[in-house]
Amino acid sequence: MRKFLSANLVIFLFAAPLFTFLGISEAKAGPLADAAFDKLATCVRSDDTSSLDIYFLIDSSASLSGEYDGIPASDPTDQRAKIISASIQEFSQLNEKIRIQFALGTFDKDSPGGNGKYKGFDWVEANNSNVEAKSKWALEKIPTYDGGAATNWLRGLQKAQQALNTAPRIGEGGNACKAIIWFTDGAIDIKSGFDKESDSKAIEELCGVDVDSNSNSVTSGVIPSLRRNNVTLIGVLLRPRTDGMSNAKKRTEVESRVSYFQPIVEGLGNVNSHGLSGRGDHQFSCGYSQDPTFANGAMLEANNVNELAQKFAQLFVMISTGDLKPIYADVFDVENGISKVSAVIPSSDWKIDLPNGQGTLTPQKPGSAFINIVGEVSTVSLDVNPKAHGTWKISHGNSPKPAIYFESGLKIKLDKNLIFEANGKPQKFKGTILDALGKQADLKVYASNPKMTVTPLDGSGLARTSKTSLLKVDANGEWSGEVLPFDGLATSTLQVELQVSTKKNALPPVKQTFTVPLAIPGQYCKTSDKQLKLSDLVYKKSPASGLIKIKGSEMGSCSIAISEPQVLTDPIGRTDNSFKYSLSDPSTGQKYKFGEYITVEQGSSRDIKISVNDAKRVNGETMLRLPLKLNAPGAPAEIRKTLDASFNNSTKAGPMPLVLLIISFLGIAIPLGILYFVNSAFAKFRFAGIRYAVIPISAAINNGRIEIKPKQERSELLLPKDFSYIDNAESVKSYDVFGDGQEIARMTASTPKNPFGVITGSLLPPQGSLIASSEQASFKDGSSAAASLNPNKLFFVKVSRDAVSRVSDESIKFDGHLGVFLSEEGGSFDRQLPQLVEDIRSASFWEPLGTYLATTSNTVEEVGSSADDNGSLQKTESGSSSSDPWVTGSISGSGTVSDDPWGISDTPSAAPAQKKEEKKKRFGIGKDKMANPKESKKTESADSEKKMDFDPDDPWAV
Amino acid sequence: MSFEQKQEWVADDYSSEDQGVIKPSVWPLIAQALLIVFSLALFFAASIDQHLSFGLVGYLFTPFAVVTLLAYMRGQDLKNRALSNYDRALGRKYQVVAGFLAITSFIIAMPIIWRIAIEIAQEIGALG
Repeated sequence: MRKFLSANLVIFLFAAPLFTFLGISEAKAGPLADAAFDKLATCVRSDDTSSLDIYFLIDSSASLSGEYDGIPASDPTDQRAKIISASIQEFSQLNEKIRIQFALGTFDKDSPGGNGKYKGFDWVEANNSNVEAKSKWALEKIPTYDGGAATNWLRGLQKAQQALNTAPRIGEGGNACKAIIWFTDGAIDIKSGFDKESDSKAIEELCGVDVDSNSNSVTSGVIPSLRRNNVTLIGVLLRPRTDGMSNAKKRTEVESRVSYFQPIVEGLGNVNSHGLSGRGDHQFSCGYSQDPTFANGAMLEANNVNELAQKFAQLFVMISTGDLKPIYADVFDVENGISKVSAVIPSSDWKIDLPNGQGTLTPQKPGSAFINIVGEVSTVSLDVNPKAHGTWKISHGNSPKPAIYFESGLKIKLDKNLIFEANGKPQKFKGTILDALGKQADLKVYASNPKMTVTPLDGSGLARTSKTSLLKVDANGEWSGEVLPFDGLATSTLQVELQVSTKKNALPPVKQTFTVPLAIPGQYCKTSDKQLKLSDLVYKKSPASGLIKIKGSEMGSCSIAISEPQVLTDPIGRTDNSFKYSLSDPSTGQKYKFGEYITVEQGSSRDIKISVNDAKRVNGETMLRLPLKLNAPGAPAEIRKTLDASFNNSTKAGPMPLVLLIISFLGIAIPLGILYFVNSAFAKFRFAGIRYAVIPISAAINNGRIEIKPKQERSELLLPKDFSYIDNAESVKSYDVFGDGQEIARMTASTPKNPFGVITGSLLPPQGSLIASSEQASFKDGSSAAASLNPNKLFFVKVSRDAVSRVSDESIKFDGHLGVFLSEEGGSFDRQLPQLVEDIRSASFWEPLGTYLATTSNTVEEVGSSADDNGSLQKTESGSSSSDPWVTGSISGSGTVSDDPWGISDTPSAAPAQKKEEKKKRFGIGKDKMANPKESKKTESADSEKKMDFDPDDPWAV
Repeated sequence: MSFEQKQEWVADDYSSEDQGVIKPSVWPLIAQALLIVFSLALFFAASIDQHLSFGLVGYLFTPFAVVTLLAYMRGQDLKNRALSNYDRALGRKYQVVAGFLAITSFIIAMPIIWRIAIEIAQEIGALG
């Protein structure tokens, strides 16, 4: 299989037969679509075209893959990926003749879609390796790009516009034909929920007019800007099926938004604005202009994916041929004057019988033909030599008839050194017609007289009417004629068209555009034809500015008037009136009005400074066109010219790193500082309503068990009368707790250095003492203990280091003070105290405190204590008394303390191991129980009942 | 009589299942979380023209409003600790969560502050 190379563009021919093959009627393109494809094809065929830039803009909204408000998924099987992939593969053929560059971007809520995750790819040339890679990429990635919220046409098209502006240019000269192929399946929905205001505003930004407008004037906006810059917009709409929607209001909203797709793409269309903020059905114009230099758009509407596939394929046929009128036949005549035949056969198994013994072509024996088979559709292209003139026959089984395309292969040539004079008079010009082999064509082979026309195209943006003129064409391939070019431009663009036909076949017209320089006559002032690059427009800092250099005439004085600039492109679609312009003399500062004539003396030159400013924050490039009027004394007429200018919009006001750092630091430091001061303000003890008591106690810790009792004889450990008010200290940072005639502890509230830290209070013991409290998570060394800032129910114990006595290795006794805080707000003390006492005796600090005391204190051996001293201890350096209840209760297991105020009884001792087991059984001691305070609490009543059957080691046990 | 030692059992661990237990308010936590979400939404929704205005609102939300709610919760917790049937354990948990949300709000505030700083630096730069 050989790649078929031709002087003409290789044609992609598979769409129309595919329609027939699939049994679906021919695609219905919008009424202006043909003109759009015609212009694009003409652009591609023009001599001065160097590249075709195609930007795929792909909708990545979630409605492609899932149902949305009753509308079925538009592309659940990801057919669009296959279509795009197959289309990209075709690019490499077209790239043989003209440089094809293509890029891909996505959009949904923003662009790229998927919150920036659905990245497309940047511009690449359609060479074989790139085509292969990107085709594969499309197959793999596009199916995954379908989770975006919303359908923001504005952002997508703005991104496409930016991308086209940044397409790489190879070498000097040559124009680029530009196209956006825009896939979408839904209605514009900027904020995902059909917000009328934002959707209407987006349409206004796109079209430059509000949704209710019926104005046909071309203003600024994204779409007019695209058309003015000759970007062909091809919108492929997979129309949402609203018939399944139960919500009538929602249905109207969707249909109303979808109706704007056609005018946005093609320029004109009927819309209903019921679902937006509009007045109803009306015609809507979106950047439509009859100016032939403006690009058109083409809407391809598809109601299902198969249709989408057909229409997308049709697109390439239209671009490459500029004509979509093939004949459908399996037997046809190829005559003299036809240089190339292409056929699209809806079958992969076929045979072409050539006349005059030229043989037979099949997929297996293609000969010199180019053959491309995609699925069940085959494309065959073959150069025609004189021996192949005659009747061709295609056998293709039962498939529908193939589509046959003929090409004359003629090419129009124009003298490259031709220059027109901008003097308002018709200009003569001439050229030749070449055949497919590059020789001067013999037009006698064609049946009718060839018809040739020229149409000047107005690229000034002034929408001046074009007039088509007939050209004289000879049978030997020479032509000539006159044309009145539009003034006001540096160049004159001409569209030349040649129509020929054979006896039996009408051939597609040959259309080419030419650009001829327009020379200003010598008596007028001159300006550079090159684009004027202005300095950056920096947001709120500096306007864009530049110098227009004007050269005076050598034949006398001349004058020039500069009119207000027109905006060609802008990143956010600003209009002509969005900017403030000024003109001045840079040396004298003299201001000029727009439209005012400025005189330049003979042989001299002048610079005029133009400034452009706007207060909006924008990034990106803006392009302007400056209309100029030139005049001179004695000149036949005022002539017009344009000068293009561009500038970059920047929001960067220059490096201010110090300010940036200071503000960033303050931004963090201020709230952190406030948090610190708030913490500081909270770091106080709240004693309002709080009363406290200090009780001297004696405690014994025996085998890890704690027994406490008041030193003085009394009925309960705590009594309401023990509690005193805290005077003049409702809210303080520190407080000294006194009791029993001495300082027991100092309470201090501290502000954490870490602003996020917890504000805590602490209890500090006097020198030589240890302290433990109910608030601390774990006991360490007794040098301090936690205290809550609202000390309600806080209790603590202070123990003097020299008040500790060791009874045995496992038993110690100590004296200390118990401090307790209680709030009146919690109810009467009679009711609160029993629970508090329970809390005290079950506090977690007793055991670690006892352990610590046993291991670190200078304990003395217990020599004895009497039962009636209520626990007061006598210490000696050594020895012990078996009569001491603490000792006998825990060490020897004998002895009783009958006068213990809490009524303790003793029982005979058991073996240590046995006793330990017994304790566990009796009191349920164990981590499991303690690990769950709730569980512990629930079992408290049961424990209380068991307390009558106490451990015999308990010195106060009954 | 002897008292059984109970490890891990602290005085203020009252069960919230007890009748008449006063629980700390949960709404400040919800408000903190919502403010964080709103602030994030503002950050991502802001167009370039709205960076400063949305940024300042976001900055008020995170960290200021979130920290204010943290302070409010601390004050309420301290006040309620005077009540015998106040669920102190739950109050402590809420304090921890509120602190975590406050730290989160500061993390979110950093890009917001950076954006505001850029905007202000540009405004100041534009004056020069």
